[in-house]
Amino acid sequence: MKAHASTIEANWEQVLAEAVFKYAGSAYKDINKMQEDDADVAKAYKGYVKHWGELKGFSMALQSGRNNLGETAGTMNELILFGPVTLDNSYVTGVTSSGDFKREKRMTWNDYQLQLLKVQQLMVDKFSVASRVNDQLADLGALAEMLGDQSNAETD
Amino acid sequence: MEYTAIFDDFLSDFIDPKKRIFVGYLGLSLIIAYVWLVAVRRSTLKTAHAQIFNRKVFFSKSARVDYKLFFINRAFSLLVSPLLITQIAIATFIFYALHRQNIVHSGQFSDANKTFVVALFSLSMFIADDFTKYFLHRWMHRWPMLWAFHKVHHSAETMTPITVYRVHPAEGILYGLRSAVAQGIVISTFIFAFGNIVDLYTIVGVNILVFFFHMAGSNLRHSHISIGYWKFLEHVFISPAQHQLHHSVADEHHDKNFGAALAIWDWLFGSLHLSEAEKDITYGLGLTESGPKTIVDMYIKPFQDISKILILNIRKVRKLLFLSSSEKPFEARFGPKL
Repeated sequence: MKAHASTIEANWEQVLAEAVFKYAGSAYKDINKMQEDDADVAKAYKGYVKHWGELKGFSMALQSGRNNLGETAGTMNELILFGPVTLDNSYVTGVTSSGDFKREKRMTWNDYQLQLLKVQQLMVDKFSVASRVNDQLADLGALAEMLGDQSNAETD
Repeated sequence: MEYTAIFDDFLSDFIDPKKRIFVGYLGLSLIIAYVWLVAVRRSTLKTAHAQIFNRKVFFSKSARVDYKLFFINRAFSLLVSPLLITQIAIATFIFYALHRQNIVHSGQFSDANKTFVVALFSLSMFIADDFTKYFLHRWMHRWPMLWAFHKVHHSAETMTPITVYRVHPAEGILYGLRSAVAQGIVISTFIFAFGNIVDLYTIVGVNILVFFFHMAGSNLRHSHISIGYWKFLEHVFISPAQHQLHHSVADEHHDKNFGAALAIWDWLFGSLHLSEAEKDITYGLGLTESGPKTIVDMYIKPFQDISKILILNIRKVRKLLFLSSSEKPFEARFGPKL
């Protein structure tokens, strides 16, 4: 049991970072689904909010572990936000003195998707995430690989 | 083991279908040359054979320099390639930037017909690549500092398929960057607009259009086998004869046919020259240009030429500044003498 506990302890942060990576990708894809011409927006939005909740949950767990993530935690929270960007493009920015959520600012879906891409990049840069489920840059990499680095570098 | 790996690396271009000198393309070029000489030029098979494997071409001083440069430049390429910015870095940068506009959203056209999208991507990649090649090649001729590097390629006095490697490493770097930029722009734009349905039509792992370009005898461009197409076709595709003409020392061929696969760019921008049947062409730099004489010269001379150009330009600027103040003629400064 102690050996297992040690393995879990050693890889805990990595597992959470991979989950953050995965759900940032899920939320990105959900936003695309919501914007499709024939989208069932209510259903797609439900999926998006569910995945966003998982993203937020794992990101909270990641920064509440043994290690103080410092600036990384701050950046992650700024990118993920306090709450998801909602259908009217507003999002929670804080709480009023009476306990209500402040939702004064708006963000376009494109801007929020860019933030989700940055979350994925942050997980790669800071935690060297190896398992990259829902990698939104994977298609870029696959096509670049197919074309080859210097394939067209021949001169004339 | 290490030596074998290095040797394999050096010769890998011969077994890589993404490279022009892949043995399959070389073999096809050979067949095309035989067919051209026997069926079109009415040579006997023996004469065609002697013409194709002309020892004066393949063992000329110029060709032997090409073979040496092939190995030296491969070494440069292996060292420098990992340091260059990659197409994936450029694609990621542009993909991020595309999220900053709000006209089109990510994956907006992801429900488009996949066959159409893959065909469009394959075509766009080919056109973007060929277009950027045209312009970089044109600039290599028109800008004196770039010409100093490109002159190395044009100093070839006989041409073999290996002449494609007779380039200064600086030119190789420029072409590599060009390729990265072209690919980065097209990949990121397509993935942003069409999502994960984007793919490439390939044969043996190569863009189908690039494959056909090589199958059509791309290696004959740098050869002594002068194959011209019909006039109308030479407005669309660059024939081997048109590219050979690009290497000619004749004044009328100067700065013509910069295109790689497509002649359309030359046609559009006024640098097209159709092939001329039965015309003997002398390759090289001619008498007015001083080219590199030795292998070391190939690498050093462009920098010497560039420093000369810079010194000349600095002198011109100084002269202009000088003349604009105290050194201006008396009349210019104070009016006519009384």
